[in-house]
Amino acid sequence: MAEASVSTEEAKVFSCDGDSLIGILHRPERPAKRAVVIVVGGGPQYRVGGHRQLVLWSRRLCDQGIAVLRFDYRGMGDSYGDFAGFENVDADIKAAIDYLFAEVAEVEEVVLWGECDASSAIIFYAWSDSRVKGAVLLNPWVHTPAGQAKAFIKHYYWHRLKDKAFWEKVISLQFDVFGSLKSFLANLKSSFANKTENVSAQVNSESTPIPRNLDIPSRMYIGFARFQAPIMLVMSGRDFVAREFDDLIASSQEWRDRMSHPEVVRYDIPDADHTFSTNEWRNAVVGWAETWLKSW
Amino acid sequence: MSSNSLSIAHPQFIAGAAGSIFVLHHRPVPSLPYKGTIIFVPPFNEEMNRSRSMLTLLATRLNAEGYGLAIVDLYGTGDSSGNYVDASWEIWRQDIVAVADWLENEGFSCIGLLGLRLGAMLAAEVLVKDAGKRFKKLLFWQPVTDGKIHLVQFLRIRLAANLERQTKEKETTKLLRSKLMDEGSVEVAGYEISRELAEAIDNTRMINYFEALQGATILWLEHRNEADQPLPKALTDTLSKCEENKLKLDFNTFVGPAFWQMHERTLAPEVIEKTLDWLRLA
Repeated sequence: MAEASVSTEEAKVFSCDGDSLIGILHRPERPAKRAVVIVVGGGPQYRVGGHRQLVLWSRRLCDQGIAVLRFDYRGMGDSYGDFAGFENVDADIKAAIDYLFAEVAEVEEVVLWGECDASSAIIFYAWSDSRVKGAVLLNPWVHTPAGQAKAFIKHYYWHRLKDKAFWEKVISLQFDVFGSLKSFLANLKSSFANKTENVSAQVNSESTPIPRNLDIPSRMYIGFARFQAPIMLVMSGRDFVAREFDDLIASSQEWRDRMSHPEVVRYDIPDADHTFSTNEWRNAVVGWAETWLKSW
Repeated sequence: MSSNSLSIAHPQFIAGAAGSIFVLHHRPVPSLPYKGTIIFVPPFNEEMNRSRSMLTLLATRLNAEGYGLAIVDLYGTGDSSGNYVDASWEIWRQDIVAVADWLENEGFSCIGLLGLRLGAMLAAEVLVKDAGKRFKKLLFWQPVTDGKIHLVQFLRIRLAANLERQTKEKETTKLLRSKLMDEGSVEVAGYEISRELAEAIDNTRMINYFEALQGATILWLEHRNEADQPLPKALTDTLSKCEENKLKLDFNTFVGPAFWQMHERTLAPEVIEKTLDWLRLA
């Protein structure tokens, strides 16, 4: 290190509809106009992330002159308010962006960053806020029971059919793989025709919210279609969440077209698990992000 | 109106033993008579992450009765400075003391320490080395009583994670331990733990603190999956040692999800209710 960094980490409280949210602002010495807001994903995590990776990533980005705000949405982690889940955090994300703009004068635009269901929350929201210019999505969550069954069979059981312990595992997992698949296949035909029509109609009506009655993959598609902006996607090799998203992409020409758009940059870490739980994988993700954030 | 209208969240970075540490003081609104702050001593690694929403719920309940709750991220963990590999048991002990000092400077007296899981043993460590005897109450939630078992369980996460990777050579906890000794650290589930910290945990037993805890008032809440689930022998042995040492101990159980290990956000309100009941009577 040539000289001591004078970037700061500041503990912050800001309001979302009257509830106090807790966040950490990483403020570089000379903030670039493009900042990052991290939305926390999956399970019981809060703003530091699994094995603290959101802290470590934020510090790396801040060293590159990028201001970062990490925060807990309502009812998660240290923040107050009622927990409503990742499908209901638009107001929380907006409050965080508002706060970042108010706090760091240099910031003119943001990239939203999220893992797992935070990626989904980001795609539901990003198109509706003109300050959001890009997104970093790690193993996006497009879960449906049928999709999970399909991913499970395709990526797990298919390779394990010759495995001695295969049937034991089906029983001990108490997971009705075949029942799920059957209902998936039964529903597929009837739902698909209606949905496609519904979804393509929604893509262009940008003044209206994404309809709640659609399933997560459809809402994700509409979100992606409306959010025409640079996206950095990172997918782990040893992760069913990522496989389910890959299956979704493979399932239709529309999805394939959207995700092969030149503005979508994809990285794969074949050996990584869902949360990138080694130094090596963590560093790979943030290394790509540092370059990507300055590449457009 | 949400239940937290009697709480004020006051997050702050303060000077810890080895670098700045993050503290969140959930303060009761000034209109309530202030009854003292409890410092939460966190459990190990992911258990801390998973407990976070429960602590916010606890804080709002405590605040409503005039108590504060201070949540601290130990050095090298959470939002605090430092790398995890540089953390040590002694730095962590001093961090808790630093939080108490800071709170008192701010005008908030501390009445006790609440330790969850491994945090219970660290809380005991803080209390027995506290020359000023300022912490009168010690609260344990599902305390770890044997550091060696806890460390082995942690190392096993790495073994489990590598099971499905055929390319990886088979590891054992014994192998990981020797790797710790030889290389000075080992990475488990994203946490690079140092030999020094691992050894400190390995050698810590709750039972060794009992003699020095005679002045404290202790609440011990043990998790049960069902109300009538019997206590394991190791635990009843430990509790009889409490009696031999004439500790002022209130032992009770609580039923609910083991929130510190769940993969979804879960709450176990019973442990909060029993904690509040005890504080009201104490």
